[in-house]
Amino acid sequence: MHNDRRGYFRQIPIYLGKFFRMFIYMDDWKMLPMAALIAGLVSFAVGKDVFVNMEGTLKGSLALTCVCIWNGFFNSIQAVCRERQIVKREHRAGMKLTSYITAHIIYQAFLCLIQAIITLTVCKITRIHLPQEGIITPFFYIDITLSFFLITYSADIMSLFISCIAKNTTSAMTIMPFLLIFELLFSGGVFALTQTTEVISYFTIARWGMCAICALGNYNALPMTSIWKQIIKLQNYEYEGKQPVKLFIETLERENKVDEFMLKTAESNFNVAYESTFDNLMDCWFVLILFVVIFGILSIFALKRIDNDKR
Amino acid sequence: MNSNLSILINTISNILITIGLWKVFEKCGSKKYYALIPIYKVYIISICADRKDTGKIWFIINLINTFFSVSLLILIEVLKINGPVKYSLELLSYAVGITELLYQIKIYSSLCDIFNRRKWWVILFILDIPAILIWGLSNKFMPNSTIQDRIVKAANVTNKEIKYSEKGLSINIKERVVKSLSGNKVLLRDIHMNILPGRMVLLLGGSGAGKTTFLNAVTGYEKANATITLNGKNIYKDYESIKYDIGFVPQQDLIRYNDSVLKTVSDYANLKLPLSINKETKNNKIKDVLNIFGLTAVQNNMVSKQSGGQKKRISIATEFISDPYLFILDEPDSGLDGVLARDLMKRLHDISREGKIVIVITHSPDRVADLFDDVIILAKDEERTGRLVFYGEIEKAKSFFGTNNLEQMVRMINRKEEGGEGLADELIEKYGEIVNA
Repeated sequence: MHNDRRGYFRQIPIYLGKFFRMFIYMDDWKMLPMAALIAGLVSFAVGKDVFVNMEGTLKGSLALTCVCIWNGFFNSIQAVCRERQIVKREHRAGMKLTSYITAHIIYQAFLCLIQAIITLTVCKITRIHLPQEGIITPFFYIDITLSFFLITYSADIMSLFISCIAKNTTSAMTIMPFLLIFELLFSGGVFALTQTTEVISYFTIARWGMCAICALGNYNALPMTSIWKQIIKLQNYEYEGKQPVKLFIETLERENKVDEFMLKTAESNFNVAYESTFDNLMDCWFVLILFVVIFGILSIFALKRIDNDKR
Repeated sequence: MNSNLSILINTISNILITIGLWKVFEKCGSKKYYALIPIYKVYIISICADRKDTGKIWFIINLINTFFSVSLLILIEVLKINGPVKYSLELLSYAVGITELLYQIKIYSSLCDIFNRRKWWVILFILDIPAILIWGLSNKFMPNSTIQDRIVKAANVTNKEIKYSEKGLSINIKERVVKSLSGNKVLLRDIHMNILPGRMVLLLGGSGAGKTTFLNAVTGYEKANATITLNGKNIYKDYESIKYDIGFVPQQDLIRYNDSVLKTVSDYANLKLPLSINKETKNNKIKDVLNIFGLTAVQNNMVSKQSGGQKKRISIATEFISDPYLFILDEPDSGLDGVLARDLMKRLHDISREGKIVIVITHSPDRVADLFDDVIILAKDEERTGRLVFYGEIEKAKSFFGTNNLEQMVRMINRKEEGGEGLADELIEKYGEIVNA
């Protein structure tokens, strides 16, 4: 007799409806202005040089990746664990955990897409210099929105998994900073990675997110300004009564070769991971989607243990 | 030279601490030579401090810490290895050391309580200053209870398992144990009964007697070492096939507060009602349930805005919607006034008259006693395990306890420190003798 109740597909709309109602009633909508605020802060701090020179692009893409990861983590870190007891009760009453998680995955996709659009809008409003051409599609805005979305979404589903493991919100919120630090440390954007840490970085969303944004920003074709700035600082250096550095600067400036010099120095910093090619960006997206799929499946398995929960 | 002096001081300090512990263990009623056994002695200190469970964890942490210390010593002094392995071990050792410190504070603090001393002694103990020597040698330092004083003996009776019935609810709970790092705790033991269809059953017991644990075990919400059958089907093994026949309203209102009352009930209806029921019938059923529980007027309001009693009624309505065969309610009348509570119980009584089983926990049994057929009474024995004191018709319970007042029955089985008469173990044995006869 039990088989004639709602199955997997028919239960999804019940929970989707519930989550969307809770989006409005439960203040989940506050995630959206928060996303705008964080993106605004980042744009204010690093926005000037993003997609303009190599250093700014590297810093900016790390910062934007972190914004997306932060948004994703906060979207769902408490989503399951805050109502774990309720989920257990409903599961005992006939709710299918796969339907529940699927509904979450669909709902979170909506949330992440809106946040990705908000982040991009803030970048545009704060006058970050955005390229015009995309790599996968002809439109940069579509490519970057999808990249932001996939970074946010993969982080979101990763934290959904944490929320499924954690028995309560305190545990979940204790784990989250470790994840954030892990993502930051092994992104490759802050510290130079050694052979071992390089391998670890392949398992971070931050690495693939940064690669996607740098690729879209045409990182390898941008000038490198830091060496030129250092040279300027050393212009008064004297050697045997002469100022060879100043002479070098004056020569380059006189012959309008400064930009060429900066591009030349950038060549030495060429990074194959940030190549602006279709294949490279597709690889980044594919890995981010893989994160979503893996953590989505893991979430279901993790939540299957809910029946063993004790008071 | 400095190193040698440090070793000498450490050795003397350890000898003095060992002598102190030897005498302290003797005062506490433990075997004195345990003071000579490294690591294990921390567990004995915990027993002396009446913190056996915490002591088990401290023992394990101490063991791990010792392992790290020895490993580090071997790595640095013998193998001359540096690098990531050493740093990782040092880091882990540091983390474990901090944890151990917290446990030391807990245990030594309790030891101070047992010896009626101020807590500042804890600092001396943690710093390995041999202050324990004074505790051991001076007659002014005596524990207020020994290990032997704290041994308790619970009612020694094992009730027979009952034969499973093809009709109704058969309960055979051997035990319900909670396992943790600090050891196993038996929450329930030896509860056996058959509840026939059409019975309205009251579940009584003092605070912490295991009433909720019992209901959780019966529904499989938290499984026990037990066999529970409903109409011959094993609830633990065949739950999927009978889950819609069981309605369980937990003590807490496990419903989402940020949804409307109507949506909360209708979502449950969508989950629990068969697809064969058409939309109109389903909507009518939802309307009826909202009406029965007095929720029609607030159906479009948020659950969060409802009073405690209303939330409880919403919680009951979500289970009631599927018309369960076994309806179990944990304190459904909490937050309801006397009139509403009696109305609710009457309704539950009506459900039981349809040939269903209703089991209810309530803390105000006397005002609704006439509506119940049977009573289950649970109590904590001396070992603080939930045991069955009585199961049967209410009239028989009255003669068993020698009182007509149900609350008086609870008072009789409650422990003395809880304001009761402390007769639980005596009555458990008395009931066991009747059942086993």
